[in-house]
Amino acid sequence: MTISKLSRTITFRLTLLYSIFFAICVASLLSFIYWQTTGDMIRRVDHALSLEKENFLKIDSTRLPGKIDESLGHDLRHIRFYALFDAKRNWIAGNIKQIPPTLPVDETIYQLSLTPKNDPAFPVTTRVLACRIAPEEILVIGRDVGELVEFHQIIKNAFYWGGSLTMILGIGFGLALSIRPLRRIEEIQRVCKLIMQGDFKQRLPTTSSRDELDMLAAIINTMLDSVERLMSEVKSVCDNIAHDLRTPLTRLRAFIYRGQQQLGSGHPQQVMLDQALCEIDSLLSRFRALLRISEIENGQRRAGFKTVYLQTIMEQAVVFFEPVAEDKSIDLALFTDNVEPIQGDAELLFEAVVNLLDNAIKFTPPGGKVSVKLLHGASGPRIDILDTGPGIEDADKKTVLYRFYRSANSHRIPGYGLGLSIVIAITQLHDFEFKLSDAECGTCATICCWPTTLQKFVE
Amino acid sequence: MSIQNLPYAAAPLVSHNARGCAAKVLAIEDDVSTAQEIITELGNNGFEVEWADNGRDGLALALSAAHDLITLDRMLPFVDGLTIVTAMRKEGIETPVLMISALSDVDERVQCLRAGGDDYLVKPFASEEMAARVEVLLRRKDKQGPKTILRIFDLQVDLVARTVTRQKTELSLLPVEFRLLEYMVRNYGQVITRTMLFEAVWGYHFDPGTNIIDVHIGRLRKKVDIPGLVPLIHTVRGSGYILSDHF
Repeated sequence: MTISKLSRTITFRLTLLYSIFFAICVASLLSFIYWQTTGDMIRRVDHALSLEKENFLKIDSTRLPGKIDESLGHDLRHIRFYALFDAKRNWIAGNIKQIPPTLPVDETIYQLSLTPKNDPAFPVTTRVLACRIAPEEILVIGRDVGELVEFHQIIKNAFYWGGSLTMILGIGFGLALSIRPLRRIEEIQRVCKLIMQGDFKQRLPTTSSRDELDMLAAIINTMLDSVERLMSEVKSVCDNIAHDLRTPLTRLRAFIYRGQQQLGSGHPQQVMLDQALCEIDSLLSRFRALLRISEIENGQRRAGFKTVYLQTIMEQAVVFFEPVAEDKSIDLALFTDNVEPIQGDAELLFEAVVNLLDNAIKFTPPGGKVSVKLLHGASGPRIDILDTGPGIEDADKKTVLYRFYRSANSHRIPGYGLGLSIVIAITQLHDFEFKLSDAECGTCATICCWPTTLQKFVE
Repeated sequence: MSIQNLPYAAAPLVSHNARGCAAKVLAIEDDVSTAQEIITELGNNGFEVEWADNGRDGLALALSAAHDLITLDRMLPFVDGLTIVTAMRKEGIETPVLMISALSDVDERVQCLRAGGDDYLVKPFASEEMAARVEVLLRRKDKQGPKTILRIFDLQVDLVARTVTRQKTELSLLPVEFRLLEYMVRNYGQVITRTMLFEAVWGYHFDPGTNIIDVHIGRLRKKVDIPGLVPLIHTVRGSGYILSDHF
């Protein structure tokens, strides 16, 4: 279980999404508080400035410098600014050295930076207005609103730190919450692998918590019950037909054979009886193949897996087919890399290779070539059987794998259309991959001898 | 149950055991139709067949050690086939046993052979296949120790030097052909089916579903049956092959 795996879980993603949503809500709340608070503060300051302006306008201009000094004397916190300037904007009284150049004299309140007369190094943020008193003088009234700036900074810090903390906690909490569901998913994954390998007795685990995973597992388990029952019914119908017909057919064959023996050679009915025996043998071969597929598919043979040396199997298969290839003037070549042994059923793997080689030789015209290769594949040994036959149409590449399917150009070639089904049953039992592809001139049948399905599933 | 009650009673005896008497086969089989087939086919091949239709009677007869061979069904009423063969081997009775079963999986085959069975045949079976296996088992029983050279008519197979000569002319055989011929020589005069050859030479137990065994035998025949000499390898219609100088 890695961080990367945990971060891909739905629980983690939901927690992360919720954290982002929560952070946005907190930011909106902080913004709203900031907007309301600052708006109210500014309104109060502006109202006070307007009242002071009214008061100053009522005072006689000769008494104004004295009144300004008196007002400043009462301002112990040094947050008020008053100044009186003449027509040429020369300072007369107050704690501002000069009228800010950007301040229009129109009685409107602006937010500006003012430089106090006693502390010119530290300009302060103020709400300020300028108005004319008498025809020649200008009065400037201001109020320090530095607290607003500090409040803005506090809100900004709260936004950054609070948001970051929320996200970090959200991620951590999400990862922690994801562990349990991920463990359960991994358990479900393990059981699914067994089901994929053919063990339809397995069921997904459930807990007493009755959460969403339990609901899903319960539904899938019910579905698996139905699938198992249906498969069993279909399989038993097919098997029973094959099995039940095999016995009377074998007896029928025995009767004909015995009759043939009693007639003696040279009897005119011998040819007809021979044909009857051939037909029965053909039927029995089909039933044997069907039951063989069924036997392989039931997966019980997996228990008998042992170390298998594929080189030996390939050599045996090639030796087995050498005379047939020679009779058809087909060049049968074997190339083997020194691949590592695998776990499997040697007899079944031999049977799979025999079926593929049989097809390759049957479909390759005289004078052609069949190459059997055992190579190092992506994750284990790979068997390639290449022929120089007519090849398989792209549209047929899937359908040739169906039971009893025979492509249009194969009707003249003997066979029942069950060979590849046996190969598929064998490769599936081993969890290997079987595929057909185009060769340079013909077909390439490949068995990838490593657990490809599981690998894909895990990936 | 007496065999005389069956519609296909055993034919006159012609096959003999090592003592010169007709070979006696005990068929322990609960299915009447299968028993009929065994009795008829073996009877036609000259065996004297005794039949037991349940495991209890079969066990008693098997322990009497009065038979040259036993065909034994795996699933029987009262006592199953595995118990019978195990009890026989425990008592030191070495009568060859051909196990016959409807169960075809490898585990079942291995279990039966480990318990003491000498060969294994899956139901339903071709009767000539069963008869051929019975003959091979009897021949195996009659062997007088290991031999290094097998001689049949004018054919000589040296198992140590891995050479084959016919009328002092050495034949050039491939390893597969040598193994095929060795098996046929060891079972000289007996019908050998394609399945038996495939099992004996390649060691696998499935139907290869092709005529490849015929092709191998064809090539072997070309090398062994040199023109002008008595042909030794013969095809038995509908069954398999036989190595014999007077077919």
